[in-house]
Amino acid sequence: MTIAPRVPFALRSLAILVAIAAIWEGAKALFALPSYQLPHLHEIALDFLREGAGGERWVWIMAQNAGYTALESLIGFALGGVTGLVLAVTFAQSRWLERGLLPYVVASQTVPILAIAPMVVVWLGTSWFSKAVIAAYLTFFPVTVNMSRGLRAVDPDALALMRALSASSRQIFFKLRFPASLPYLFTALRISATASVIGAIVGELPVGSRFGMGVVIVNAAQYYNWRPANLWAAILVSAVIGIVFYRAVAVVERRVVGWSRVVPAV
Amino acid sequence: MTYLREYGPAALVLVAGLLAWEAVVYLFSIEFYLLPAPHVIVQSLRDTYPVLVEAGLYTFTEAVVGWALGCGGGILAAMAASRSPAFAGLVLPYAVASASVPIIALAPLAIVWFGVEQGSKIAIVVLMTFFPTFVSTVRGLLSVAPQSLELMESYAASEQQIFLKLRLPQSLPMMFTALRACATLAMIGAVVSEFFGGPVKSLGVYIKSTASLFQTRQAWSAILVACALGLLFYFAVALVERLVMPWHFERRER
Amino acid sequence: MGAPIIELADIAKTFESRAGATEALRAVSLTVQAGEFVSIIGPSGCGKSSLLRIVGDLVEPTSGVARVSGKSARQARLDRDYGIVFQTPVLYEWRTVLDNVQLPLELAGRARGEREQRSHALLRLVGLDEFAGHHPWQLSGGMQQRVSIARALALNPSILLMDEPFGALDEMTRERLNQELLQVCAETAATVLFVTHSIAEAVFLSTRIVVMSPRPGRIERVVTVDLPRPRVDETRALPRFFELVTEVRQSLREDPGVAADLRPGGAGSP
Repeated sequence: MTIAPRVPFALRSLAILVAIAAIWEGAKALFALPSYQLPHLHEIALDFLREGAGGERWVWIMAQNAGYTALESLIGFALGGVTGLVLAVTFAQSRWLERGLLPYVVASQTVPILAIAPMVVVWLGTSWFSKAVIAAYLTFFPVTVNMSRGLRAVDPDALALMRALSASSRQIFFKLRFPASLPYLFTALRISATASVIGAIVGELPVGSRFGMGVVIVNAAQYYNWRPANLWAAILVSAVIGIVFYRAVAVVERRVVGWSRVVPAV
Repeated sequence: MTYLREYGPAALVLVAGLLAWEAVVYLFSIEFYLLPAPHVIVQSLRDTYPVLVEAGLYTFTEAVVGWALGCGGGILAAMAASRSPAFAGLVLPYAVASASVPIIALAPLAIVWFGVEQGSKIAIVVLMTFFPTFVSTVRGLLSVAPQSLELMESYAASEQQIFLKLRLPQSLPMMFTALRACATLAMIGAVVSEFFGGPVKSLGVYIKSTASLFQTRQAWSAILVACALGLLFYFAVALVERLVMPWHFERRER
Repeated sequence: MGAPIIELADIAKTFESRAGATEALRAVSLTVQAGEFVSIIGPSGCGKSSLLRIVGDLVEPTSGVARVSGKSARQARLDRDYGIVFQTPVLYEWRTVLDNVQLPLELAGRARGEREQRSHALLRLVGLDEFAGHHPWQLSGGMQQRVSIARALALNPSILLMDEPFGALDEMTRERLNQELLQVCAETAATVLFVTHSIAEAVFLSTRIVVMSPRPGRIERVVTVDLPRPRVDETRALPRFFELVTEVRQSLREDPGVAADLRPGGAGSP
């Protein structure tokens, strides 16, 4: 479904950004929105150059906190990914275990897992660890479910061929099941990329955390009346982290499973 | 007999899990504020029932209203976008990209704009549910097999007829998949945006405050309520899906 | 002998793609009289499906003129003068069998009572009326194709365009459906343009067979099938049947592209 015009993505993005900027300032002028509700774009930009309490410029403070959140997300993502993979492979080997545990894994996707975030912080303390664990928790569910599906969805004819070639179980796994399930894995990883960032940020919300974008957002919200642009800037930075993560996974995906027909438009 | 084989292991795991939980708490004398035993949670549930029901309904309302507005808007926008495939192709990558933005970070802003009551949470839920629904529905509407289109052309069907008799019914499965996923997103969005600030009589604030005060049994019972409501919402949408598309459900493999 | 119902004059079709231009059809001219059953047979890629779609105004020829029922192909399509059957049944899974057959009648704005009556009649014609309330996936491949044929006849078209309709079915089902198709055609007096891969099928069904050359597709030969009508099972055993099959096969083999690989021993083609 590649019906997009032939204009390159970069140019289109630029055009969209310009359009957004125009709508932003236009709306501000048209509805006479005060800076309190919708600051000027340049006010947000200037906020990055402002000096914080400790004398550092905000762009540096944001960068540090962003790095913190990104690290928590990354660790959680890696942990969750590996756990999910191991679980999926285990399920593939034991139908009994699968029937016993998979319903819960699937059902848990339908519950507000993040509601548990405050509990996790209670258990594991307010250091980076609890955030990484939350991120890992959000990551391993989609990975488990999707990988299980992928490992099961192998073409029966392909399996028959392997058996006709007298391939061992191990060979069948590494040469057929695993490569065939990679597209499913990456679909899950893209979801998890965003989920782990959200998990890290939400993990920073409960009282006691000192670093990370979640903390910055909460503080900026507290002092909003004095410096509205600060909150917008913090949200912008959080969005950028999410986008960077997602695109990184998408790029790796294209490299690894570019052959798959399951690769979506973006 | 097949029921036993299908659901037996899961039921067994549930019972075993609960028993193990109780055993672990007892054997290791885990402090109540770290991990309450299941029966303690159930007790707390009974004790704080009225508070939880009120908070639960408050938050659930945000989820449902936000879901209805967000998904409804997404479907309408998708129908409009499908009329012009060029436009859809232009907007779609950005709609998909929005999935990579932690929308929840916008919760404080929503509070600034819409106040600390339900309005701000509904706004967040709308944002969270709009884009996935939009993307799925557009894909469903535009991914029609060429031969099905040729068939319609051979009958000289008008664009409107093609839309009503082919694209729309064909897109229903994808649309409902998104609606189900958004049902769960809605509840999550409502609860978590309350973490950023909200009235005391909401689930999110209740969970956060009781947890920070180490009143963990109350926090857990509230979490349980949130989970139950999330599941309820999901199955309600799944039920509607089954009623609207009886043919699809019979066809789907387990 | 009235005016021909299908007239193709010097049809050519070239497909443009990023990989370059592909010439699918070159200088194809053909006339079909009403009531004929014309099969188009040829190797893969010879453009037979494109030719069929040009007649149906689903593909535009790069040059040349296609006239159907005395009008332009486009007008014929807009007037719903033909019914089309594809290799896959293309039935809508959200509609029952009856509703699938009703589709063209709905699109043409017929009244409900008339639609249902006609749809039941069509299903009786193909012997599937008892499955009217079923859904497509509950039927076998052969049955689904019969439904798709019933649908193609819904608006009583004078022409039937069929693109390898029985290609995905097994030999026995195919032979049975061939017979049924002929009976249906006899009752509706439709003209049929039939694309196929199977020589035996083409000889059994047709009054004339158009043999096409490999890409770019041109008409290699037109074989007139003078077997007695109505065709029955025994027709397949007639010596004349074998002669015609051989004649068609030779025509196909005479094309340099096809012959060399298939001939045992490979004496090399002229």
